[in-house]
Formats: sequence, structure tokens, C-alpha cells
Amino acid sequence: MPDPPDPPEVDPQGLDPRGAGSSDADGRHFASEWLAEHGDLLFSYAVSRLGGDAEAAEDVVQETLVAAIRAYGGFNQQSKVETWLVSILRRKIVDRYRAARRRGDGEAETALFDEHGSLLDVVDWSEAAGGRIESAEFAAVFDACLAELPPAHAEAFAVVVMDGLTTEEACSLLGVTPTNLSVRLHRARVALRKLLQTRWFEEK
Amino acid sequence: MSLWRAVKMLLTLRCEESTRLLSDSRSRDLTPVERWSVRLHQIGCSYCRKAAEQMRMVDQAARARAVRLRQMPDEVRGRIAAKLGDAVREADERADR
Repeated sequence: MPDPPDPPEVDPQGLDPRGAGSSDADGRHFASEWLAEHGDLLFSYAVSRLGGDAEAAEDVVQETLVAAIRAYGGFNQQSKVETWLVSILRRKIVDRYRAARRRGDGEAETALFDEHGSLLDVVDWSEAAGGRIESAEFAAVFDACLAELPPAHAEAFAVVVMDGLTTEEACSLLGVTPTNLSVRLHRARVALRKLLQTRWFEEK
Repeated sequence: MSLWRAVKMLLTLRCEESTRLLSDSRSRDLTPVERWSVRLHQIGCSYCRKAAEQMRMVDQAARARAVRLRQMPDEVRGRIAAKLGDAVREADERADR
């Protein structure tokens, strides 16, 4: 009886995107390459959107790469791997915020307006502080402020302002109406204005 | 919008609504009535004049923060690599069956 034919060779280096002749459509040969090439970006991205929580960022990056292995069959070769990985990561970040919402984290919102709907405590900002928003020091302050927002407001701000999604994209990702998104963004911006004023921009 | 509501909006806008419209204006064009309501409100409200500028700064600062790249710490990379190794082995086993 003749031997069964050898199984098709799997490209050990993972250089051929589809793994020459391999029947599996998953991306397991690329996982370590993705981590090596895009790990820093994915991690930085997650840390900044999750209010500086490095542990949570580690979790979502790992979940992203594991999900990417399974989802590789659906990856459109025309688009950049990095863009594709970031889109998976964004979903994982939103899942994380959703879980925080379910637990009822950060429900207590600080007062942003008085009983007449008027703004509180608006002072002049220091131009010098404004010139240092690209510093590592500012990044840490910003992270702490984002972390203080209710999760629903933080995630809206993260996907619209930090990621640059359109209203339609953000609404479908977060499962909210445009009106609801508008309310969340408003609360997030007013709260961040107040927090950043106290912790960074106020003339000292 | 009815004429009455438009007039009311023009004359009675509060900071809360004014800042909401400022926030909205970053993702859509405001209607003429909305735009004028904000302008009229800002004439009498120095807080909102400042806050308008400061909210723009908040977005700008957030975007500066968003593109900041930092290296993934080695121990994080190591832990993720180990977990990925497990996931790859599982995928191999599934493929072998």
C-alpha cells in the first residue's frame, strides 16, 4: 500500500502571507512576528486609551493577538496588518470599558455645572503648560484624568477624539445613538477641561 | 425648529447647552440658530469664552497623547509571547485533528 502523500509544507518562516499550500486560514505562523513588529504600537495605543492602566493594556494586547490568529482568514490582504490589528484592539478596549460599565465603576460623576447650568471654576491657562503637551509628564497627567471619567464617557472620548472615528463608526462600535454619543462626548470634554485645568494648565 | 423655540434658544442658552453645542461642533456643522445662540451666550459669559478655547486645547492635547509611542516592557512582551505560544499550540492541535 502506498504511503499517504506528505502533508503540504507549512512555510516555517511565515514569509508567505498564506503559508504556501497550507490549508489552514489562521495566522498562527505570524503571531510572534506581529508581536515583534507591532507590539510597541499596540501597547502604547492601549495604555493611552485605557487611562494609563498598563495591566489592562497587557490583557487587551494579548487578547488582540490571540483573536488575530483565529481571525486571520478574514483579513483583507489589501489593508495594512497594523490597521487591522488596531481595529481588533479597539474592539477589545471597548469590551473592557463595557465590562467596567456593567460593574458600575465610576458612576459617581463630579459636578460640572451649578444648579443653573453654569460652568464652574474657569480660569486662565498657562501658555507654558500648553507648550508641553507632548511631554511624557503630560501623558501621565492626561492618563490619570481620563481614568477618572465614567467609563461610558471615557470610551466615547477615546474612540472619537483619540482614534478619530466618525460619528457613524463610533455609534456602531459603541452601540449608541448619535444623541447619546453627543451627550457622552460633551460630559467627557467638560470634565477633562476641569481636571486638566487643576492638574496641568492652571497658572501657578 | 419653531420660531418660538429658536428665539428662546437664542436668548436663554446656558453654559451647559452652550458647551454641548461647542462639543457637537467638532463633529457636525451647527445650524445658524445654534451658532448664534452660542455667540450671544459668549458675549455675556467670560467662562464660556475661555472654555471654548480650552475645550479645543483638550482635544489637541488628547491627540498629542494618543500618538505617543513607548516601548512595551520586556516582561510584558515575555508574558504575551508565552500566551501566544499556548494559543499557537492549540491551533496546531486543532489543525492536526
